[in-house]
Amino acid sequence: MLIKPRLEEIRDRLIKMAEMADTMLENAVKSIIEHDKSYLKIVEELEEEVDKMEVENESLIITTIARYQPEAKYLRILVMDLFVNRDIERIGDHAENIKEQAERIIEKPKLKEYVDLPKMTEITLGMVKDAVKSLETLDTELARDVIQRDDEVDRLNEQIIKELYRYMVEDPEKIKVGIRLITVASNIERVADIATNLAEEVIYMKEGKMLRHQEIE
Amino acid sequence: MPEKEKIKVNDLYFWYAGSEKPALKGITMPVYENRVTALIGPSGCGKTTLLRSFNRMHDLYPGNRYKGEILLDGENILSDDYDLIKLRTKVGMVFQKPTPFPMSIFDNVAYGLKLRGIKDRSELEGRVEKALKQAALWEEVKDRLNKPATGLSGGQQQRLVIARALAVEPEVLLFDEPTSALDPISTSKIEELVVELRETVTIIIVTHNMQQAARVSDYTAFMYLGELIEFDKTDVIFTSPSKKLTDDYISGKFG
Repeated sequence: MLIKPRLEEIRDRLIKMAEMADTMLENAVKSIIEHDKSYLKIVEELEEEVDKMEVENESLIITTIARYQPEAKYLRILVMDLFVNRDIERIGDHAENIKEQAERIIEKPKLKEYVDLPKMTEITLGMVKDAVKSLETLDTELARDVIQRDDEVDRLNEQIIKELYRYMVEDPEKIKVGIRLITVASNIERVADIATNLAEEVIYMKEGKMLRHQEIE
Repeated sequence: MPEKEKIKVNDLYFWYAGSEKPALKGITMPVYENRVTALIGPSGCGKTTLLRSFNRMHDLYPGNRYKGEILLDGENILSDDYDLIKLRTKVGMVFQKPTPFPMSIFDNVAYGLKLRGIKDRSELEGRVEKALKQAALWEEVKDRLNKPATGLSGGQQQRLVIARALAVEPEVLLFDEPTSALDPISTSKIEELVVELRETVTIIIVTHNMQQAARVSDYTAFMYLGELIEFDKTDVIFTSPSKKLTDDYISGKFG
């Protein structure tokens, strides 16, 4: 089957791109938690690469669709690959947003020892890693599991907002950093949503069921 | 890495005997080494005429006329003093209808080698085996090499013909609608074979099946009414060709 090597090539590229976006996110948040700007260097280095890969991947996927007339399973995989490609690039974008906030946050004194932020990040990174892992073998059980974890991330996001609100009300000086931290949490929450989308795309590839905007069965 | 030109067609014109109108009009294009180049276009566009120029098959019929050049490794094969036997060893051909000779499988593949004077039995056996393996047919026929070739299925016969062409170690292989007469599974096997053979041979394939050209070729030449309209990487031709006519043909508006 002439199409198979191309599908594998695309998959490998998407996985590599996801690893880069993952690294960007992890280090962007780490810089805030450790209050250390040096973690931002790699985020900057990977920014351009992820964007470049997105464009190359898109071209490769479209060309593959044009040349191999895929149907059924292969069509689902390739069309979803286009969405997966965009989604991973968006994860990179969110990591960049966090980096920009981090640069401002680190200029000021550290607000507190962060508890919920690292927890939220850990869950989100796990979701992304597992969503990508489920893509490798079209493991729909793992994909469904990823989707379930989104609620916890939403809950932690709410918790962070409430806690920061208290901090800011008690000491208006802290508003400058507080607002930025809420933005950071918001970006992480969006990444968890994207991981959920990735998982839904994997399920569609394998089963042909589109779960977007639906409650998981 | 830049592509290497195996063949270069320079301003080629061709007239069939008795015809004033040229069947090929000023074709200029490269054929890159170890790549598959597909010639596509609607019926009557000149793709088969062009293909048969590469091994001067037209010379078999008196009155056919060429103008221009076809350079193979820099030498013009259309010149009067080019050795035609040498040409047809360097440039092999596979036709639409499988054409096994009425002899054994072994003798079919060995035919060209024997014509060249190779008599040593073990050398013949070695080269026949190699050719059959290259044509992905060896496993199916190795235990019945002395059986008649006509006993093979259509798809097997076509692979036998390919093995026969490969036995003389050509540098270029011309395929003229090689799967039109075959079932879908045989077609798929031949397509995979064509892509594999690229490693050792330069391939030019004529097909009226656009999707086949899309699947197997690296470069595509779109022809229309004897002219070359567009030549580019297959990736480009099938996603965003430069000429509207090409786009119309590819998207099925005519042909």
